[in-house]
Amino acid sequence: MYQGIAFRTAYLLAGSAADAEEAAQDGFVKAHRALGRFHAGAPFRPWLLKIVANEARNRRRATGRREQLALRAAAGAASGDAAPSPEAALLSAERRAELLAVLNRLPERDRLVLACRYLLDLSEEETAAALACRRGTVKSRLARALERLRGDLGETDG
Amino acid sequence: MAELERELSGLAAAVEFPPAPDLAGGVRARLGERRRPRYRRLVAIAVALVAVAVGAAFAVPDSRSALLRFLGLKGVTVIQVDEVPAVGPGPLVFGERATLARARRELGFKPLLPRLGRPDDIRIDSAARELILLYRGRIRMSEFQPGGSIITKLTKVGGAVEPVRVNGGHGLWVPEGHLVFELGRQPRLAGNTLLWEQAGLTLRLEGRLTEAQALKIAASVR
Repeated sequence: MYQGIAFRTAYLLAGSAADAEEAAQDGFVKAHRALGRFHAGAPFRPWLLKIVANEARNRRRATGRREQLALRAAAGAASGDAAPSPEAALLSAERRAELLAVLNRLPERDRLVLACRYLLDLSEEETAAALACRRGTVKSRLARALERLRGDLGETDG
Repeated sequence: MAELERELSGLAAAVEFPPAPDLAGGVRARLGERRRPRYRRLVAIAVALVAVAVGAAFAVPDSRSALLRFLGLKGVTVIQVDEVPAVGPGPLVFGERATLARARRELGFKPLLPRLGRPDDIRIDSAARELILLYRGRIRMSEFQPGGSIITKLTKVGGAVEPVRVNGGHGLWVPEGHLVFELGRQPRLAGNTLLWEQAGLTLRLEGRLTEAQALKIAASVR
């Protein structure tokens, strides 16, 4: 369903669950009104995410606050809803905490592009729609953000 | 580089996002409260459907398809397009098993029934506020009050969507091979379907039925 991804994208951009809910709901309602402008041949998800993300950004400007991303309480142990992916299983709890802490401290632009691509698993096109930029910009921001993240983690390789 | 990217992907499952609220309910409520000309309301409902119901696995295929024509009943929009996106048939039965008495209590309307004997299965889908009845393993009747379930159907231009009258109300006959979006469900390829309005409800009869058979069953609905 699109509800989950729309809400999480809005949460990332708006920074609070309440704002994200409103933004996602307004986004869906606006999407309804805009059907006439949607071309049936175009992929639907980026179009929807763009509208929702725009709502989320507007809310965030209005409130100016942001909750930091946090780890699940029981992350890694027995997370109830899903078996950890092979990638997740490779990460120690310490490494996860370190990664997220560094990610949270990155400049907004870097943090958002990394979160869209890796935490929400959005495609480049969807990330561009959510961040209101071009695909090429997503690529270059992503490369810079990864570099900065690696630098902040104090790594030289990887 | 690749290693760090893998680690970030691995982090995804460990990050806490607040649970997504039920957006469909709010969206539906807000659509319901709008007072707009019928045509615009239909457009709104159509997108509601596309936006909310389209499963993540489904993407409208790359085609030059354009929305060309709208036909509708309360709670149902039929859109004729150049090309119907390819999807498979999906499940026809949703919701919880129930008795007719319970359906009446929970859905807040008196179920209308065709003269087909006892249904094989009675379901209520509380989210869509819809009653689903199955007969003879191949005929499905569903009913809802406008404002409950929202349905959009995409048919090919030139497909024979036919306005009909059923028990004094408006109806539409939509032949098989069209795509149906229902709020909160996977889009699927639908069979021959008769839709009509009766006693404040929107009813839908779907199955391996000719138009004449469907109209005959519909005429028996009380």
